Amino acid sequence: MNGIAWNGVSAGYGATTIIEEIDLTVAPGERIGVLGRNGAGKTTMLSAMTGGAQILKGTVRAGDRDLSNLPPWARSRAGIGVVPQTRDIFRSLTVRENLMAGGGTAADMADAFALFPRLKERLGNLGADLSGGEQQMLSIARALMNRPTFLLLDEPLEGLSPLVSQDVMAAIRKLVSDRNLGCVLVEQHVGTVLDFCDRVLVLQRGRVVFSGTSDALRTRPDVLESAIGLSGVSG
Amino acid sequence: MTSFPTRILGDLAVPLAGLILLALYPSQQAFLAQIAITAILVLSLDLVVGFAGLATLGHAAMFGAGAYAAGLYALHVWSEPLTGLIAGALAGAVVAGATALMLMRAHGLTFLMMTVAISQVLYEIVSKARDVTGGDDGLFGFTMQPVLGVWEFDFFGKLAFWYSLAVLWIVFVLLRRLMVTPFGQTVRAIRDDAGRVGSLGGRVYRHRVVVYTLSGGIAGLAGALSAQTVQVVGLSSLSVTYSAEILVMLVLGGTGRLWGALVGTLVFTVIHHYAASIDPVRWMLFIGLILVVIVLFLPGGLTRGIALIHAWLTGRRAP
Repeated sequence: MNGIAWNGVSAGYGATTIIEEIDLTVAPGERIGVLGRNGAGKTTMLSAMTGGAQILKGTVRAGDRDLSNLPPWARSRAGIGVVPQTRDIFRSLTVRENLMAGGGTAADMADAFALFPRLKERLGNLGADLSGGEQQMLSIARALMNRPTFLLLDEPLEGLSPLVSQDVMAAIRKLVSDRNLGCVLVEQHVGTVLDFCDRVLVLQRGRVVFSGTSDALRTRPDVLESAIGLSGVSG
Repeated sequence: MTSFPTRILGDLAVPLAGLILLALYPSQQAFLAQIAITAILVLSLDLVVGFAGLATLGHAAMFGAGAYAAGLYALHVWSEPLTGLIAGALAGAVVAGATALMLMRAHGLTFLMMTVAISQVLYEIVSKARDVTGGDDGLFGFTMQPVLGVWEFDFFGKLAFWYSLAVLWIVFVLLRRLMVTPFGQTVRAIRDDAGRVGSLGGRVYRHRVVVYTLSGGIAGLAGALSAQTVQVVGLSSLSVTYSAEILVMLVLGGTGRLWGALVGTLVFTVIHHYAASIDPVRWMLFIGLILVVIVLFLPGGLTRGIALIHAWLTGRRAP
């Protein structure tokens, strides 16, 4: 597979258009960050790829394959893994059941435990009994069960303490690097995005207002201030 | 995951409960057989309501289809009981599978109303096909051969009890195994968040169709058992009222646990048995009051109450 792409995508829910004319291509191993204020359309952009939002114009593709009209499960099996906002684990299922829910195998589960050994210790615990960090690990591990080529992460650090956030980001780095995953990271913490990603997309009211390297964005205080509300960037 | 001894103990609970009930009601084996058959039907309903999260008021359609299929099979083809069970199960599965293809595209209230409509359509078809089904008079006139060529059905329901208990045991053990397979886990995850399962690669529609068809097959099996043990099939076996009744049993016992289906059926049937003997007209009042108390104070049903007590005694969190 060459990569995944949003080609001139406008998308939304019902009659409401949230994002307009988004163009982005992500190659295997490439790390893309998406920044923007609340409501800018970051999550909708990911949902357009996974099937959660309705595509009104344009196409989403994985390699040569047009995914736009495929159901969510087919997109997942085309190699797209997603870690949703607020984690969205199945709280009434155990860790094992959460991991098997999408049709993963025992071998996939072993791989997930290699990345997050703590999950193995909590195998029989309900999702609701896990800490926030463990829930996030479970959410990431669950996204890996279909052996994706691309990983879409929607605010994976939301609600986590700084120390736990460091652990989760370290795991994501290792994962992306070891498996050469293409990765799209939506995150509120600008420093984390600039530090982790090769390229960054900044959205404002559903449109791309900046697309370039992380270093280039660091030199654009106007974009940082108008689109994200920052006067500077701290690591 | 439960340990091996716990799992075996759980499996043995059904025959043990059967033996205890037999000791309590030694002269009412036909009544106990009826409890076992209803428990199979409520177990099948739990697959749809408790595990897949689909509220239905049309489940008796599959039970009735199985009952009529087994009755007609015995009357016109062969009165051997085990193949009759297969015929009943197939009839239930066919009705469920065919309707599931349409039903599983609907959600919420639309789904609920469609299950009622399908049940009513089937009821009317069976009612009008008097030459085949006996219409309002019901289907009768068939007698069953001995089970496995050895054990004969008797007037007191002795064989009916052991036969129904054996089938209930097999169904219960198989469902317990099924619900911990990846298929069962995916079905439960769909109940919690169907959209999320889809984005993880799970085929929501296909899983729902399969679980509904399987549930219909088990309901048909229960219907066939009922036809064979009572040797009469009535129109009420297809009614929406009966669907509502078994839903009440499931809610009483607790959804999504399998045990809830067994406990709910037992409690409902025993209360019905005694309350109806006190007041044959207003016995439903007792059930209604108990249901109100359960829904208000123990929304997870009686088995949830048992789980909470167990958790309190062991210091663990109730599942």
